[in-house]
Amino acid sequence: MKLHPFVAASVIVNSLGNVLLTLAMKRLAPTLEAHLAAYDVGAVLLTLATDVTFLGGLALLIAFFILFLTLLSKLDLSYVLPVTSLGYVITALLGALLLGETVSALRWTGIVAIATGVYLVTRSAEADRQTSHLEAAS
Amino acid sequence: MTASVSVVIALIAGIVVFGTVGDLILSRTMKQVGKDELRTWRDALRLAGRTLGAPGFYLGVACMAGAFASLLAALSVAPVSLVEPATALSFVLNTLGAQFLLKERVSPTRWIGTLLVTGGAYLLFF
Repeated sequence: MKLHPFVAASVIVNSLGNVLLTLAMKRLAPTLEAHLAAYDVGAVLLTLATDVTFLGGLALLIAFFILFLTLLSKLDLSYVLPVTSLGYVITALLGALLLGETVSALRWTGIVAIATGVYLVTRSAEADRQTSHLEAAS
Repeated sequence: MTASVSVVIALIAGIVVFGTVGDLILSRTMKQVGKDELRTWRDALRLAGRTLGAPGFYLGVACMAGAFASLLAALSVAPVSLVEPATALSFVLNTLGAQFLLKERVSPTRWIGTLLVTGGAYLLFF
């Protein structure tokens, strides 16, 4: 199974962005709630704009959106969308490894189903490419 | 749960419908502006310029913003374990849209793969 290098990059960038944002929001939650309770929107924005983890996560998610649009300019939506769902799998694994979240048997089943689904979608894209090569040659 | 069932259903429908329409519009727009080859950084800059000049880009981003707003609203009135699995539906809707509106060729293998991804995402968020 061969993944387009841009697809692999977008999946990794997306998951890292999600993990960084989760880390930042969990750490900042008490501060943000205090500011919100005081209706101090300026303080909320200042807290977020000066937090390196939050800014890093935001930058990675913006980079993901640019990669996603670039992929859509060349590849089918019905290929790009299921394949980028590999990001859920990596996010779940990173969540377990870095954030100490538990992965239940049900979630492991989900991870295996997504991985199998992505494998099939990728294989269908390779089959499409081979037939279009044959059509071009004949 | 603090909101009535119909409000939660409407918000989840908002997430799925706005998200799907946004993806379909963005996909169509990017296909239109991205016909040229993409090999150098100069090509990439030109593509970025054409993207920012296309009305479809702003329409698609507005739909994505609508989906995100619906998600935040839904999460504030219903548990995550109800909201997130329901959004897995957007894989099926997107693939239907890709096949019938964008005229992409979706083979049976790709459909089976997409359904596995949908089921898997449902279980992952459950």
